[in-house]
Amino acid sequence: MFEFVEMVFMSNFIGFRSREPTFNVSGWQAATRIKFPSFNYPNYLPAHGHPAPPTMLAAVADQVKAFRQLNKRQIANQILNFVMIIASALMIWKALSLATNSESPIVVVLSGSMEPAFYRGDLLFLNMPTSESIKVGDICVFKIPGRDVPIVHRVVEAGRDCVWDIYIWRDFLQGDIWSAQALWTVWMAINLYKTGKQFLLTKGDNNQVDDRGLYNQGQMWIHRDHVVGKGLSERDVILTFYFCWYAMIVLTPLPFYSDRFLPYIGMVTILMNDYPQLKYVLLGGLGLFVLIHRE
Amino acid sequence: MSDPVRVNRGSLTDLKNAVDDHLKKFLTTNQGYTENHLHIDIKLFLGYLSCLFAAIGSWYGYVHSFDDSRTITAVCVGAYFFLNVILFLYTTFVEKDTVFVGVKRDPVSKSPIEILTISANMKRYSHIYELTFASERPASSKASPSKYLLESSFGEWFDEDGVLHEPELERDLKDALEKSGTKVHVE
Repeated sequence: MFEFVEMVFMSNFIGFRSREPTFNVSGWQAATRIKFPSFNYPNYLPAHGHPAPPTMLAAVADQVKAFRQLNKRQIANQILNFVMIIASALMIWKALSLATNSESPIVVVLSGSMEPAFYRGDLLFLNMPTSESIKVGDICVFKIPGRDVPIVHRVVEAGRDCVWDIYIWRDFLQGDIWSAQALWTVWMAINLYKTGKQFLLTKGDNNQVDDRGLYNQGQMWIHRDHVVGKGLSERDVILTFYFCWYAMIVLTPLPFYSDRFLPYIGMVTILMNDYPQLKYVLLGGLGLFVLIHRE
Repeated sequence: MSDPVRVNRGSLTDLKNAVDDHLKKFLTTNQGYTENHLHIDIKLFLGYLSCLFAAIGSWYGYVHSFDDSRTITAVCVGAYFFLNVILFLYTTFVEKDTVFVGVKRDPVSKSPIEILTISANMKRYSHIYELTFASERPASSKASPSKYLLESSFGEWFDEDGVLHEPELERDLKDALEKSGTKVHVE
């Protein structure tokens, strides 16, 4: 952006030599002494006096012409600049993903089912702690098997699958707690605890019912395996903000409503979700600009 | 007669690039130098290698699940940043502000007579372009190359429409080559 300021400043300041008329004369043109101006000076420009206004179209045409005159190595350099931008963005995202131990460390809230905690369009920072168990009241991002879109809701119940409860109680009430079947059921339940398979029930704050209607047919709980990320706790928030201090400086003009998320920035992602052509238009324009422009 | 080179006269980057491009063309076609592409080749190699690591890491992470691809992704991310650091160090400390490195060889024996290194310096928002011509002769016993600083405004070479006037630029370059101890080849 500062280039444009520089352009306006410099074009009024440098003392350029006066324009000499250059003519591509040859053969019969020289003989007849008819002067044809070169293609740089079209007829509608004044012959001398005021210089041509620096229009955007002229600037772009100059850039394209300069681009065509590059040799192989310079073209390779331009392509490399373009690819490096994409690669840098991708690698920073992957590094963040590895650091937070979650597949998608920053997600956009798509629906209003968690109001008034999160609104549609908010950005959410996640991580996935390997040792901590998920507690009731944590906000989780989970993917139901067979569906692409992750869901951000709060955990309202965490524990064992109640199916096993029914089996154990049934055998106990029948007075047969020492039967092989009852023992086997108890053994399975203990093993379930040992394997650490956590069973969770989720519900959006703004929803009236829990998420059993969203789960697959016959599925009563989701497992910890389905969870791709956990919303940050207070302690994690403080650590993350120290880590992201430099990035935050860049984004400081935006107002912060809470210490957990950045509001409404995700609207761009939602727009690109709703109108997929916008993605290609934006990417194409940006790519073209980087390819043509020589720094 | 090729098309006259026309640049946006308000952009210092474009002016510098036009001068550098014409400088290379003039020295290689007119003055008999062969350009040494070592700096740009190394930068391209490091750049494309790091992008290759980035591509491999991303592709592997896309095809396999997150847990399986963790190690490969970590290796590729580390390699990408490491190579970029090396590239940055190379550009800052080895290449510095070199614009052109050329070798003039003896037409018969193909041994190098002279190695010419041109470095450019330009201050921000200043119209003065400083080109340092450093001429080094392997045959002679002098240890350090003889240098000459060509300091000139862009307004000497470009006119009001931004068209580059090649005769003026070539005259200044020839003058600088002579003063830096080179025997200038007159066409």
